[in-house]
Formats: sequence, structure tokens, C-alpha cells
Amino acid sequence: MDETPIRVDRVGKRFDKTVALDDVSLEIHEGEVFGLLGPNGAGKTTLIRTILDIIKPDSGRIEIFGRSFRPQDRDRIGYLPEERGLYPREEVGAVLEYLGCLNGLSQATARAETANWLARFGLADAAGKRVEQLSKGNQQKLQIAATLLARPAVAILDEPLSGLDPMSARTVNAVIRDYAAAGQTVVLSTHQMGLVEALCTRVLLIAHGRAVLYGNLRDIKRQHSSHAVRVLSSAHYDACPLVLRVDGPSSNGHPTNVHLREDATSDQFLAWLVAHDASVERFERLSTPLEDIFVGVVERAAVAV
Amino acid sequence: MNKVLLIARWEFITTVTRRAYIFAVIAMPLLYGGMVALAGLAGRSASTNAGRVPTAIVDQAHVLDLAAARAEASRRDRDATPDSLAGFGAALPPTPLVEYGDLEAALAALRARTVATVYVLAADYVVTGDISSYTRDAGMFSQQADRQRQAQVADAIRAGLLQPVLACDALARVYAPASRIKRLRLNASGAPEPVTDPSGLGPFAGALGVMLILTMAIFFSAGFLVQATIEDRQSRMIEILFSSVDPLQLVLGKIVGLAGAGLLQVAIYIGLIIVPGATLLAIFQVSLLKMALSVVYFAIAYVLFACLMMWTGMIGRTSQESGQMSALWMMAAASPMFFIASIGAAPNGWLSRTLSFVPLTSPVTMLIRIASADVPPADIAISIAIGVVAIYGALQGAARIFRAAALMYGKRATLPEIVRWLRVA
Repeated sequence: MDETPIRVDRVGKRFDKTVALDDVSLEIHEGEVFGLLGPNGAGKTTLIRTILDIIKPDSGRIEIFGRSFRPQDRDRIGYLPEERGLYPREEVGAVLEYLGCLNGLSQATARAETANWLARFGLADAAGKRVEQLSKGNQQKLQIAATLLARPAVAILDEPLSGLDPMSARTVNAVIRDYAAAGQTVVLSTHQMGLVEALCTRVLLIAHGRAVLYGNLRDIKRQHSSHAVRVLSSAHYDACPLVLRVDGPSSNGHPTNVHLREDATSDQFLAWLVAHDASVERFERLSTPLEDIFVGVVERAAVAV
Repeated sequence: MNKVLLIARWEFITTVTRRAYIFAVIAMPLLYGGMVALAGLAGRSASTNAGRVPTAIVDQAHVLDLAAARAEASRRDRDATPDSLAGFGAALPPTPLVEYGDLEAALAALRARTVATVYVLAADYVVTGDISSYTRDAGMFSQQADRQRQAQVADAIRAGLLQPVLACDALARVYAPASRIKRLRLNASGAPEPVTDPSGLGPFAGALGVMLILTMAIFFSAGFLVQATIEDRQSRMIEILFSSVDPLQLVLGKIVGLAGAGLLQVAIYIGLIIVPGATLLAIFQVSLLKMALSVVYFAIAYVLFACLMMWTGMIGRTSQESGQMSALWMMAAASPMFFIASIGAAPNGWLSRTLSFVPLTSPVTMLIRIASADVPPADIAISIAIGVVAIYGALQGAARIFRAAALMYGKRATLPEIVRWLRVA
């Protein structure tokens, strides 16, 4: 049987006149960190809720581990929603144990896992404190711990770093990386492109309910990179027929951004430099930041709508 | 452990360990019990003091013989059967009657507060029946003592008028004609049997006690449910819980756990203050069938009411608004209590039967009917069937509204918004 953790096939969902999801398809594989991207109101949360069977789609099909959603799948999927909280007046340890038990752990295992996760997040001494006594950042770490406590096969994390200081964010990054390295699947819904670039192998970008970008992150970046290279060499780039324009003077001892013609490649340009006996000290492709790709694609999608 | 039981255990433990719950369970009954006891002691003391102050009589008609009157009164009290003395209120102790020769002396004693009341029998009393009464203004709370004094004076006059014309036994019969009543009633097979509880309060008190206890448990638990639902919403836990449990499991778990908290509160109230031993014993006079039916109607009422409370907790924009809305449900569910006299007088009448077949009023009405009389089995079957259908609908509705509430996060809970998300959920 196909054990693909999540498969979404041509799913559509409409709220009155608003199209929340329009023919969206995706597959999320075991052990990968998958990025779910999109501007506010694009349909990310609706997509997650349909995956979790909180909302029924109007059309299309969703498979969890190769079949339609079953109640027991709730124990295999952990979810950290964007709007989240914990019982503020209850003890940290008790809340985590309770949520662990609700996700299928025995009392003893839930207790042991609670201790493990609290230690992992540097909150070992917080077990007996009330949740409301912790800082907002530490409560955020607790919520991540609560999601991962039962070690679900799929963890869906909606903006996991919001409210975290850089040190805590680094800890959470490491936790997510380790979690995926252990064979579990992580779905990250976030606006933090740095996090996506650091952790995700594949992404889906939704805009206006439609999938506008989907696939391997490296391929996407390559496809959307500008035809530019950053070069430090002895050559005069204006003489090259492959070059469209140059930012600044050539050969001034500093790297220069060289924009190539659309039909030219960076490999051809490097070959030209070598053929003209240029001494090349530095040569790198200029990649477009993911954020620029995101903004560009979303703007084009808006025009199309 | 089953997820419903896990949720139930969590809700129960987190509720009963809260300071507000502990205060409500322990401190409130002690406080109210103390106040009631204090008021009772004060009232008793006042009554006792009032009973010690004599009543003055000015007998201008010369019909009284106070010594003979006292003798007749004590003979009546000695010979009376308990059945003839049955009543709902405790009688005040008799006050001494003192005869004054003239009105001025009696009024002087009244002014000096050495007597509580002055009764003056007019000289032509035998012909006219005229009696004047003088008192100090003691307010509405002295009415019971005044009535008792008046009855004592009437007894004394009757004894005085009858003594010269009747023989001893005839005098006793005319003086107190119904002091030796023996009560019997027909049992289920139509045969007469002695009435062991002449007030009729015992079995009714038992059934009524069960009804009141269960109704209290419903209202207590329902209050916890509104609170718990609002807290879940405010602490933004619902969507997290929905990733682990089905909405129906969440609703059922809350209902079971908080019913436990409500029943525990009632049990502690019973044990601490509210139900004295005699009433508790009266509860055990209720037949097992009636007790079982009471429990069934309690369960129906509780689940129905609990679901409504959850709806309220979810729909209200603030906890105050939810509290106000839940008061409406409470009024509706408790409305049969306003008709308790009518339902008790005609337990199988049209009003009783109508209220029995309306889901929200049915449980409390049936509890009252069961406490008052034997209810036709068809009525019981129909009302239970209606209750079960209503419970199914209410549970599904509560699960749906929980789901909708999760979807509504971050949105203002206006009525159109709620309807919109209920359609989607």
C-alpha cells in the first residue's frame, strides 16, 4: 500500500462566494520538511484543516498514508495551529502529559516524553509551574513540545517561530531538523523565508486558493534566478556578446555583477572568460532570494485573477 | 484509556481543584448554613421570649374560668393522637393567660410591657360576641404569636361557656371534637391500612428531595460547562484538541467530567449542611423504580442542558454575554418549578403532560410528576423517547458548534458569522 503521508488531489473548497481552495494538488513525502507558503488569506489554513478533516472539501480527494482520513490518523498527525494556546492556569507538566495521552501515549510514556521535551527546550524546571507563569516565548516552546510529544509521523507547524528570540528560534530549527532526520515528516506553514530556505526541501506556494508554485526548492530557485553572475576577473565584460549589461566598471579590483542575455547561460559566460585567458578570481551565480521569488509569483498570480 | 474518559478525567480534576470550586463547595454552604442557623436561633429565641409574656384578659361579661380552661387544654393535649396534631409548622409554646379586673390596669401592664396583648370581652359579649384587642405595634413578624394568643383566648372562652352546661366527657368532645383522629388510606389493592406518615410529606419529600438534588446537580454542572467552554475558547485550545480528538469525543468527555464535578458538589452539600438526616432517610422511602426513573430523567436533562450550555459558551462574545444567555436556558428548564403546585395537584393533567413532551421542560416536569403520583407508562416512554432524540440532536449540534468555533478564531462572533461557519463545519 502507498504510504505517502499526505496526498492532496485536486481539492476545492468554497465559502459562499469566496474560493478558498481551487484545484490544489500536492504530495508530502516521508522524512521531508515541506514548506507551505502563501500570503495571508491565500488558503493555507483551509488546506491544513481539510487535511486534518476539520473541514470537508467540496471536491477532490485527500489521502493520509494512502487512504481517506480515519479517526486514528489523529494520533499520527501533530498540529500546531496559528491560533494556539495552552490552559494558562494548569501546570506545565500536567498539560503536556494530558495532550500526550490524547495523542495515544500511555500515562507513563507521556510523563517520560514530557520530561524529555522540557529538557530539550531548556524548561526542565518548569514542569511544576503554571503555564501562565512562563514567558510568551517559553509558552511557544511548550506548544511545539506538545505537538511533537507523541512523535507523530507528520507534524504540521503553523508559524512555529513566531514570538521566539533568536536563540530559541535556533533551538526550534534544530528540533525540526532532527525530527525530519529521524524519518518523520514536517509541514511548515510560514512567512519566514529564511526558515524555509534553511529547512525545506520542497514547497507549495498558494495564492488566491491556487497552487502557483510547487516542487523542489532548489529547482524553483534555479528556475527563478536572474541571469546574473558576480565576477572578479581581469576580463572586459562589455566585449562579451553574451552580456546584456554590467553594474559598474570592469576590472577595478572588486567583484562586479554581470547580467547575461536571456538565451545565455553562466556556463557559457565562464567558458568565454577562459577562452579569452582572463584570470578569474571569483565567479558565482547570483540567486534570487526566495522572498523575491515569492513576491513576484504572488503579484503575477494577482494580475492573472 | 478511552479519549472520552481522558477528557472527562481532565475536566473533572481541573474543575474540582480550582479555588472557586473549593470555595463554592465548602465555604458557601458553611457560610449560608451558619446564617440560617443563626437566623433560626434568633427566631426561636424571639418566639420563646414572646411566649413567656402573658396575655391579659378583661372579662366584663364574666364568662371565663381560667383554671377550668387550663384543665381542659391540658386534657386535650394529653389525650390527642399524633394524627390529629399533624401539621407543617412547629407551634409556639402557649402563653400564660392573666385576668385583669379593669381595662386601665391591663393597659398599664401593656404599656409597661408586662403583657403582650389585652383582650376585652364586652359586657354583652354573649349576645354580641364583641371582643376588643389591644397590642403594641410589633410588626408583621408577630402575626403567628398573635394568632396563637387569639386561639388560646377562644379556647378559654369556649371552656368557660360550656362548663356550666355540659358533663365532663361531653365538654371534652365539644371543646376539642377532632383531637383523636385515626387516619387510614387505601393501598394499591384497595384495602385500608394505617397512615404511617399523616402529613403525607415523607414519600413526597423523598421524591421531591431526589428531584431537587438532581436539579441542583444539573445547574451546578451546567455552570461549569459554560465556564469550561469559554476557557477553551479564550485559551485557544479548541483547534489543538481537534487535532487529537473528534469533536463529539470532546463534547462527551466534557459532559461526563463536569457532571461528576456537579454531582460531587451536590453530594458534599448533602453531607455537609443542606439535607438533615431525617430528609435523607425520607429519600430512601422512594421506590427503586421512581429512583431509577429520576436518574434517567436526570441524565436526559443534564446532557440536554449541558449541550445548550456549550452552545452558549461558544456563541457568546464575552463570558458575561454567555452567562446572560445561559440564564435564559436555566429559566426555560426550571420553568416547571413555577407550576409545581399545578403539576403536583394534577400530575397527569393536561399542563403536566404538555410540559412532559417538550424536550427542555420534560425532565424537570417528569421528576415532579414522578415525585407526586404514579405516571402512566406511555407518558414515561414518550417523554424518554423525545429526550433521547433531543439528546442526539443536541450532541450533534454541540459537536458542530465546537467545530465551527475552531474555524471562527480571529473573527467576530456576529450572528451571520456564526451561521456561516455552522454551515461550513
